[in-house]
Amino acid sequence: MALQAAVVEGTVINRKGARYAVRKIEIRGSTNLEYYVKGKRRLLALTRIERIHLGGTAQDQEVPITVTLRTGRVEEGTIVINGDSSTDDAISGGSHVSDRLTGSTELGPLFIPLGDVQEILFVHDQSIPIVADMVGGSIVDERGRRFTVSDIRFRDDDAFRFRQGRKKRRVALRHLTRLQFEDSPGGEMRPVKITYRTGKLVQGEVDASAVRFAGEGDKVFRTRVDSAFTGSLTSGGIFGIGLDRVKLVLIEHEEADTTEKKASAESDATHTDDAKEEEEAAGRP
Amino acid sequence: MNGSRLIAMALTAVWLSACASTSGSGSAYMPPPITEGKGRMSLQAAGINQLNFYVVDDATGEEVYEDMPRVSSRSPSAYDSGAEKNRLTVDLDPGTYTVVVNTDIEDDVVVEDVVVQMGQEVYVNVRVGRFQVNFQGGEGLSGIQMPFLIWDWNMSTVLGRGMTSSEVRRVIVPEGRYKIRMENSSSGFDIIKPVEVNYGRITQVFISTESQQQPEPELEQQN
Repeated sequence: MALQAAVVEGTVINRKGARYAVRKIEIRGSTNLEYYVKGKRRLLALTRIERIHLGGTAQDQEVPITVTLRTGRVEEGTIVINGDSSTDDAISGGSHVSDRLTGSTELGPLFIPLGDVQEILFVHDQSIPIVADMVGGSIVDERGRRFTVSDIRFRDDDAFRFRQGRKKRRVALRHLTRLQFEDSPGGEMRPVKITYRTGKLVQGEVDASAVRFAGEGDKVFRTRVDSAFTGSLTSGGIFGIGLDRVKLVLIEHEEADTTEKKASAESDATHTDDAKEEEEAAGRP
Repeated sequence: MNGSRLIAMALTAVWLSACASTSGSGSAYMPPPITEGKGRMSLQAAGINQLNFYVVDDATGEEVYEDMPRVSSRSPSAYDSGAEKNRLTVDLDPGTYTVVVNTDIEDDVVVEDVVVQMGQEVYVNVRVGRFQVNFQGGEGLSGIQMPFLIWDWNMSTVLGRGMTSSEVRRVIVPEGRYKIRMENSSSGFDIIKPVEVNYGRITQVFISTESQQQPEPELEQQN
């Protein structure tokens, strides 16, 4: 009996066209893939990916990458390979993180430099559900203005991160229905009430500091302060709002919509019946 | 006669208590038995004795255990003790769990589908490493603590913050490559260092501002 069931399998094709059926695939010793889309960092579990294609040449440092998710979404970006080999005398004690793909084949262990990999086709167990990679909904600011936004992300991530004391929590936005931000006198940490789809309500706080850290670049600072929540406006254009201005985030789900419609229909029906009863009680036709 | 009996009884009592204390001290070196009806899960973090982590039951989605002994890496008063007790072992009901380890940066280490069986021990590898920033400031900066930022390798995202310390203070991060940036506008230095962190290794980063100091006035006069 396997004690840890999360094993990533697939076919690895190198730049010469040789194919390998590989189990326990790991990239740089991890089952997550780090790459960049339009300069923004993405960290994605391999279990959510259908296919990876690496372009460029084996000698490139920034290699074009195309990631096809299991949902069908395709992301094009870059991945940094061969970026190590720092020979700084001020760094000691550690060792280099090797840029390679590792795994097991029928013939034994496999090690391939990432630069030599051209394609990875993942094979997923059908029992592992496909995770939705996009959520939409409404965002309300402090002034009460409401924006309908699709592809909502929190700090370039599809999960919301908050704190409960020393505990750091990360919950995927697809599990949530509502984020309600409370007023914070100091402004450094902002209390937030988080409502899950299951109805569970938890409280936490989120770092809403607008103070610039020493060493923080202009773009990173402005993005952190002004664009904590990002997305695409349904009316067109991109959307971004800082944690100091957001009041409410309402995430919509297809199932919830259906349920809500049913509930509203039932409510209307009840209301009509009540009105009829009132009218009958009042003796009106 | 009564006196000799009393002495004999007292000696017997002393001997018995000595036996008891000997057996007691011996048991202190034994691993504690697994709690009845439960299984044991131990995290292996390659020499790290304490981590901030919590365990979620996959069946219910409820958190069943948490331990948060470590202070934030950006706390000026935090330091690592050389006599830390290992707190990475927990007895749980049989079942399937997800372990979430909070590191000192935004990225957590998540180990899914950990199966705990009754009466058995399961070891879970947590692929984290450590680095330590040793700061040696020049004139006006000696002995002070300096904040720094932990970036991803491409320097597009700030992943976390840290603070140097005169004590031993190691930053725990997932295995990988990072960059550290320490900037002090009043002193005019801005230092970026690459850091590669491996499982079980401690990377030492030395940052010195002495080379950026102004020449001493005496030397200027001599020249």
